[in-house]
Amino acid sequence: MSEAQNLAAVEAPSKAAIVKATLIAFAVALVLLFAAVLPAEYGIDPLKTGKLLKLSGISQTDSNAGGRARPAKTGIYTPQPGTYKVDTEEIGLHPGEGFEIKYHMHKGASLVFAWKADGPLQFEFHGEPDQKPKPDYFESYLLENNGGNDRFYGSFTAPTTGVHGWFWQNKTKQDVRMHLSVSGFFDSSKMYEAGAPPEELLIEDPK
Amino acid sequence: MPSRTALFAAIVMLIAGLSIPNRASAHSVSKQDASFVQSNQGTAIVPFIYLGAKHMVTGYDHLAFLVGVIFFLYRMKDIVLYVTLFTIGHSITLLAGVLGGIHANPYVIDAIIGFSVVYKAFDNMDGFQRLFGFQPNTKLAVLVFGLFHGFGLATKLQELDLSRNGLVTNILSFNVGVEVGQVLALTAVLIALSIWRTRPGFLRHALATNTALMAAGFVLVGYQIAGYLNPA
Repeated sequence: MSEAQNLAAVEAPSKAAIVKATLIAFAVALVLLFAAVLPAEYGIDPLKTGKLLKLSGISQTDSNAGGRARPAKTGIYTPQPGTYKVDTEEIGLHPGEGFEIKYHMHKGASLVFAWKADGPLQFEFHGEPDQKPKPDYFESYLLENNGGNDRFYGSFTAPTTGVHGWFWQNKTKQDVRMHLSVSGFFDSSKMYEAGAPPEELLIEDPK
Repeated sequence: MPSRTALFAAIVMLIAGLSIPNRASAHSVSKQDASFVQSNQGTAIVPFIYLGAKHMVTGYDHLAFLVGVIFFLYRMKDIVLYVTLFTIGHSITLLAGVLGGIHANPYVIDAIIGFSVVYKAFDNMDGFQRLFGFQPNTKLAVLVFGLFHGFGLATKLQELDLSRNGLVTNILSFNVGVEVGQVLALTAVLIALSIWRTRPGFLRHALATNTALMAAGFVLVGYQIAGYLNPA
């Protein structure tokens, strides 16, 4: 270190020069911050330079312009926990029968689903969190208890870690067959029939 | 005497290296890498070495601090000593932070890392000696700031949901990668600095360069404080 410091000491700056340099550095940083960095990164634009230099658009088009990887709440891309799975089920319901299939998913995991039947079915799209305040607690996402539907398509993001799925009931006087396709990030699936214990459905990972 | 062209090439290389992260995804682990890390289950040595190296090479705050540290170091022995101290510092907190589950606020840590750049630039100006009449231990400072830089690396990894599976091996691999990236970045900086030092203008422009470095440090501090006050 001695050699280096001796070299530096030969032309070491004066007190005044150091103070001046520090103040200049601080002033330059303030100008850069308020004129460019804050408008571009956070949309904070006190000097209106962000608008003038078209920098404000950066933080508006990409909320992650700060560069920090935040979990995307709504957006183009959402990373998923767990592995990708696909499940299809074919179910026949006699008049008056009810049937239920639910998928265990982690909070934030998504799936895409479609079911189609050859007659109308009443149904409730709902979920039960793993941690529930009461044993029979559930959250209803959509209830169709009038005429029923013969199809229902969509995508779904689990609001809680737990089981999520559908209860169907055939209120018509004929048998109804229903075909369900689900693909997404769930780890297991169970079906529930009245008067029987829940049955684990075998799900294979897609090739 | 190196030619003007060589000097120019070295400076262009250095500036290009420092400005790439601005155009890409700034400082934290990019989204693509994030999804890789999140979907990864189990041991992945080489990918984590790569991610560590990439993070260091594109992490301008770490690079700015290292430029400040080796600015006035002429002998290889000193460079190795100071860089080793920095490495020990950041390795301790990177490993302890991630494995021990110590969560620090990333904005506060990054603001302190920005401040480390300001501190080192002021130190290089001989500001402590001249203005306050004493010299804080430079080796200790590098070690302590190394600890904060390590926490910064840890918070970046903690923002991702790391699988417990193979965690220790993966973190160690990331750490190895950080050192690989550091050697790569330091080599480029050293080449540029050594060419520059052979020129008479070096000492004359040293104050100006450290002023610029200090300004960059202040910008980093302000950027992170603003981020802390405005969580998006």
